[in-house]
Amino acid sequence: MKIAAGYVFSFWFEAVFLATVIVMITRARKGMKIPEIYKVAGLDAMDEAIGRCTEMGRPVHFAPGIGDVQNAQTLAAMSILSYVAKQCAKYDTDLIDTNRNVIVYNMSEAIVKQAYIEAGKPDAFKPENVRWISNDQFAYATGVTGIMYREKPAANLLLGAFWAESLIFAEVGAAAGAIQIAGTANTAQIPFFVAACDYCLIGEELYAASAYLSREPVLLGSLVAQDWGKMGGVVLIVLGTLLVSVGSPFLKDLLAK
Amino acid sequence: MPETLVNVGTHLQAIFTILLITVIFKDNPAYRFAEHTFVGLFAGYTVALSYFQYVRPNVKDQLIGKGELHWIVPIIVGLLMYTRYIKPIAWLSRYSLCFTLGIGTGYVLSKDMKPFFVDQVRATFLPLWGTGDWWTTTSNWIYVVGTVTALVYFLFTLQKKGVQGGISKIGRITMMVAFGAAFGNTVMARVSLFLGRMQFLLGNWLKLISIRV
Repeated sequence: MKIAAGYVFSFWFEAVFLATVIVMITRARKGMKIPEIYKVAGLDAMDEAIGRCTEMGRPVHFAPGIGDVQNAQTLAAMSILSYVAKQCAKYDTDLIDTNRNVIVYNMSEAIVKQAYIEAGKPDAFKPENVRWISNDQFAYATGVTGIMYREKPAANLLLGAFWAESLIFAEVGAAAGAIQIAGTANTAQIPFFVAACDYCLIGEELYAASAYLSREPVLLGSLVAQDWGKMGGVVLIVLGTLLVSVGSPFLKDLLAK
Repeated sequence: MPETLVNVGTHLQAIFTILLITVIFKDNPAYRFAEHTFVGLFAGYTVALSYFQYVRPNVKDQLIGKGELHWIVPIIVGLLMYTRYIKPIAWLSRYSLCFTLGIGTGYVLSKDMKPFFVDQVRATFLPLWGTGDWWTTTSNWIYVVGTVTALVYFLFTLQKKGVQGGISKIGRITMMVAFGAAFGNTVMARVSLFLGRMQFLLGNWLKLISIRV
């Protein structure tokens, strides 16, 4: 079997990367030492936002974005949802979770239910608060707008893959007077969250947040491996740039193989 | 399509546009009516779409029509999703989710590495001197330094203190500049969307302005 032309370097880089991921996950699972993950700014605000809702007797709104389950951002959002649901269960605060994708909706319901069970309050779980609004992007945005105005959540958590509806959600959250924490890796939408929300997780901070909050060995291990992958990227960029500057296309050609 | 139907369609579009815009006066019955109609219509549309895009071609045409028995596997996996409504066997629905998640993760791993990492790293290999054009050289420096410092900002196993903190800060500033540019660009696109709607209301609907294409 031969690797297709143009994919040789990518194949071997990914192979090394995946091996590192497996090693790191195994070490994390066995409780062996792995590099520490430092806290991402804005995570303290998560507890603060839920606490605010508890004090005001108003619900928390969580939107996991409009991506499907093949989107890594949606999976990161699910880990954060689990943490948020546990905190909400602990403090007897209502959690409204709105979804666009049917499969994500099913996952969200299972995760929130499990979180209530783990918090020792299975009876407090309200299935009607995990909602599928619509498969259409703007019908979903319209539905969420209505919910924000009518049910007035005191915290608006927008974490996942967002597209053109991002500013609608952030605007309506601000109008409803909610404390807003947002995070997405969709670069075109980050400016809106930065401008309209109180705290914003930029790009990969979303994945780091999900690993940090859940303390799940699989997530922690893969985040450490990703960090090393990024360090590899930095080294390649510095070396490649220097080589190109002195007139050698060696690394550029190697990466194209 | 008969002209009367086109006119009815135009009136409905215009009325629902105005009803939805009323949300700027907070939640009100007009917005609520438009919201529920919009969401309800799409729920019905999704059911019809699912039938015509998935159920009919896969079950009726492939499985029953052509006798391709392998379609039974995804159909069973799909049907398992509905076991969540039957309490004693609700756990079976998790298998469908696991299946979808596994496929999703594998798909992302196989397709993303080259375009989103290797090709982008390669595109950053730019000459930092000797280009013969000071503007190109300056742009290359900004490009390379911005990329490296932004990458360092996203290293979560290194504490953002000292030299690394300084590099991260440059990365953060670079990103904020880029976000500012993206914000302005998208605002312009949104303004053109708004203008399009106003042209429709004032031109196509009320005929107060003429629209030249």
